[in-house]
Amino acid sequence: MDIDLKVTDQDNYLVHLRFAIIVFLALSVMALDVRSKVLADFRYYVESALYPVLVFADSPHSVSKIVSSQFKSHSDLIKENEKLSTENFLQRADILRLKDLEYENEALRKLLNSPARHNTKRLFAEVIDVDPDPYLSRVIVNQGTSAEVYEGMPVITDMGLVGQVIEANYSYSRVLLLTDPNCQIPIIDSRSSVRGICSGSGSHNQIFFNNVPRSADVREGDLLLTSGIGGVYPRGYPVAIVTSVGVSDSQPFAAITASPLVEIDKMRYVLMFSTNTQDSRDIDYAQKAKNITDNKIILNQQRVRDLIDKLSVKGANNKNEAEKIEETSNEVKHDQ
Amino acid sequence: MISSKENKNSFLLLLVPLLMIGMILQIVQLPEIVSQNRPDFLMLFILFFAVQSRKFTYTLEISWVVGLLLDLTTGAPLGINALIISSQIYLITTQFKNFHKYVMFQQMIIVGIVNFLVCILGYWIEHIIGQAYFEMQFLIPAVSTALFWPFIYIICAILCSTFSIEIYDKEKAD
Repeated sequence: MDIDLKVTDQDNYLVHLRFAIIVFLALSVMALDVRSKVLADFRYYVESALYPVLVFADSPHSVSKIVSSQFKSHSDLIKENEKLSTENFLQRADILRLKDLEYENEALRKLLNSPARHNTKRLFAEVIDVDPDPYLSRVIVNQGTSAEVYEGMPVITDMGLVGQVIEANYSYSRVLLLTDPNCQIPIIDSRSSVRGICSGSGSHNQIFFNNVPRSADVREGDLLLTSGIGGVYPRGYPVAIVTSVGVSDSQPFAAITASPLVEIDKMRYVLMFSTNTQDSRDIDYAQKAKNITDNKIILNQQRVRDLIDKLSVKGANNKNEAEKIEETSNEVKHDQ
Repeated sequence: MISSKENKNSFLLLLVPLLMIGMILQIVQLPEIVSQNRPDFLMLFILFFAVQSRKFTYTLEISWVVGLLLDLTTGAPLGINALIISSQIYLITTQFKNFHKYVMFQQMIIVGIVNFLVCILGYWIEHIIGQAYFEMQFLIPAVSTALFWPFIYIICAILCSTFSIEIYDKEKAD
């Protein structure tokens, strides 16, 4: 019995020591991971290797989806098909108009000497997992660096903005949702053009519109769009609808909350896209635009001179014509 | 002596698959309400082996490794789940030495309180890192973990008896 007690005492002593070592290791690994990013490569390779685990974890969902799609009745399928083909027809008609607008926009932008915007790459991705950590609002999608996904890539659905890629692994990537407190999005009120930055609240159906003065014209029901400032998110994508505007005299800023348009807990497919600035066509165009801008003073002078000449010539012509008309009318009068 | 060696081997044979199942349960995609209040399955599985078998001493190390894997799959800061799981195992095995002799509801209360404390520790660390936001909901998993402990205990005990794994100590038998 005595021997046993001694052994357990020694064990206990060792347990404390082992726990101390484990705490130290855990904290140092955490510090290295969070602050110095030394382990970024390690994370990239190990997480890429763990992809099958994530796919396996998603299997209940995917299996239930397959089963439910197998048991759809014939009439349901016909109905769905009809609905989709109608939708497709309407959207094709919209696209025709969109193409026209795109050309027009490009032409107008050329006139303004600003480079045209090309959305060169669009990528369809499926949400395969949601990070279960209570402090992180992130989802995992099944496209990674193998499909040229990069960190900071904006992600949308057909409803609106979802967020941006925060970590790209070989075959999957993590998307920071707009509801995460770390996610800040530059936005603009579509009605009053009030600019600002919105940040996540941590809850899946609420975001905050921060640092807006009390006098700013923001009302309930306003649509908030991405403003394009900052360069991460392209301009004009819908983000949220303002749900409440709280103004109190003691606070310098209004407390505005908005509800995201995308149903973040239900979405299954997302679209990732890059405004590809590395495209040679864009670089050429930007270079051209720059040259034009650099020579703008000369150009402007030239243009103004031309314009004046034109106007004066025109004016002179007009004058001459007017004089001629007067003369002829006088002659007519004299004849009478 | 020979029998104890055999037991040790067979014991790992059950622990490893259970840890894999626990890992899948931790990361599997569930509806949001369930997902937010998901109990700490991995900790419960390791806890069963830690309190039932004093012979098996490497639970802290195992929980650390498993926690790291969980961090990698969930994208949490590396080491946080390792710290959370291993400190729960440490607290229960060192501070409640007669844990296995307690009545089930007392065990549940202890599991709940320890999980609650460690949840706060996790929140505190994530707050320092700058990722956490305050919501009372982050404490609900402590309740669900406590409620799941009897089920996990029974399932593990049944599995042990089915695969004839002798994990009980002499002390426990006394």
